Amino acid sequence: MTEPAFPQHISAALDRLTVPPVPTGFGERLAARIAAGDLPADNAAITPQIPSARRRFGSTSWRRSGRVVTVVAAFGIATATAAASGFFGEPVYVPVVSDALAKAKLVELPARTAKPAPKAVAVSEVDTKAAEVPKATGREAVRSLYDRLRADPEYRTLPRRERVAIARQEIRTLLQSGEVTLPELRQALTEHHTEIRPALKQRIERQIVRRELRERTAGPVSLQPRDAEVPSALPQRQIDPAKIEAAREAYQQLPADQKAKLAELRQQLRTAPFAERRAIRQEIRAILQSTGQTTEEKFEPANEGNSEVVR
Amino acid sequence: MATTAQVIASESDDALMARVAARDAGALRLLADRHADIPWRIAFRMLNDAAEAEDVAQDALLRLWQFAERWQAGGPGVAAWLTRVATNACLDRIRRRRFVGDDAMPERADESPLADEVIAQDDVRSAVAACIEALPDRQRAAIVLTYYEERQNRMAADILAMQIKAFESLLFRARGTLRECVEGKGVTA
Repeated sequence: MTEPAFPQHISAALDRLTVPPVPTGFGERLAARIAAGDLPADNAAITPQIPSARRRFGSTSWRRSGRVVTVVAAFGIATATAAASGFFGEPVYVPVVSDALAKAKLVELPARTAKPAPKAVAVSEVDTKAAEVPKATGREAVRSLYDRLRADPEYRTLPRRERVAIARQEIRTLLQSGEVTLPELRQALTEHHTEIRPALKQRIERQIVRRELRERTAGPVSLQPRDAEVPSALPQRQIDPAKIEAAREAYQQLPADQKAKLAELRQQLRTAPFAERRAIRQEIRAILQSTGQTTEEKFEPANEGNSEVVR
Repeated sequence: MATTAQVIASESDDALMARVAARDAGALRLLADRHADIPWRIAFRMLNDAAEAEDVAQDALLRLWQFAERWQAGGPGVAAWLTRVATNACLDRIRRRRFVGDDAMPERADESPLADEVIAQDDVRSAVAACIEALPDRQRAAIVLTYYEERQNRMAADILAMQIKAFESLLFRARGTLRECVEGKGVTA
């Protein structure tokens, strides 16, 4: 139950304001004015629109909101169409609109523009410098990109997150333009990482040396790191090309069954435990010595497992 | 068997409006018999002047005559249309009063039956009439439409071309002002 508009005593007072009936002769005076043509002046503020039988959908506020949304949407579509058709200069790729225009053969489909990098200034400067050098493709393109970025002093002053974002953006652009394929990119990145991290490279070399030392001693292997024993630089192996050539000839002189046996032994050497490797190595040496060639050079522990050197 | 007068009296407003559009003054007279009291009541309470109230009521019906050709059947109806026209006409007259002044208004004899005597005899009635007349024009219209004419807020807001929330705020203020005024004139619980 709704609250009454007025208290009872006020309502009672208001109800006292009665209206007398319509004055007598009202109808006659009305007819007389019609007959005399005494009609009121046209006033749009007083006379409303003639009521329509068709009821409009929704309330006034909803209709107004609908109109606002329609106008905004229409403006957005018009702007997007203008941008896509090149009204503001170079045609811009706008999803759906550009496709529709291209389908209607009104404009040529422009290239899709990539999202802008976080630091537009840095990217633009890098791009400017990139335009000066001849375009490289494949891994070279990635390498030159990194070189360009590293050479840019402003790029180097940026925080790491922004540098990574810019580099990613550039790589994405390279991929999209087709200058680099994905496998090339992966390979280039691997090379790049090993290059830019000398510590990683040094660790790999240290592991190789440690493995060789373990095999030389042929004793129980300690899993503890022995950095003190590891030489700071990897000794460079001196392989005489003449000896390699002689070994290759000796190998080729072997009969087929000996070659097969040799291959089998080499395979075993790769997978055999340390204790058995000495015996296998001696057997290989015996086969090769049967051709009258010395093979000691080739079976130095440093070469073990490296079939490329032997061949 | 129904007489011609009975047949005419049973005609719908839309049918009568069709006849008014064909310039049948008798049909307008019939519409006036049915609905003239609506603009008369509204104008009488808003303007507190019988002569002006009759002018407003007649003008409203004459406007119906003028615009009959554009009338569309099935709409809100003649009564709603006359309510709107009478309210607008009253607001127009109230606003004109401000600039013209009462002295410049055309003199006309009050032909209502003993209106002055009735008002003079009833202090409460005259107090209420004075309080309503003292309200700002839109507040006055809001009170007349919602309290006396018993129109719904939404309909009254539509007549005054206002948003419903704005109208409700206006009505709230009008009720408060009217109550204070009436109580200030000695009407207590």
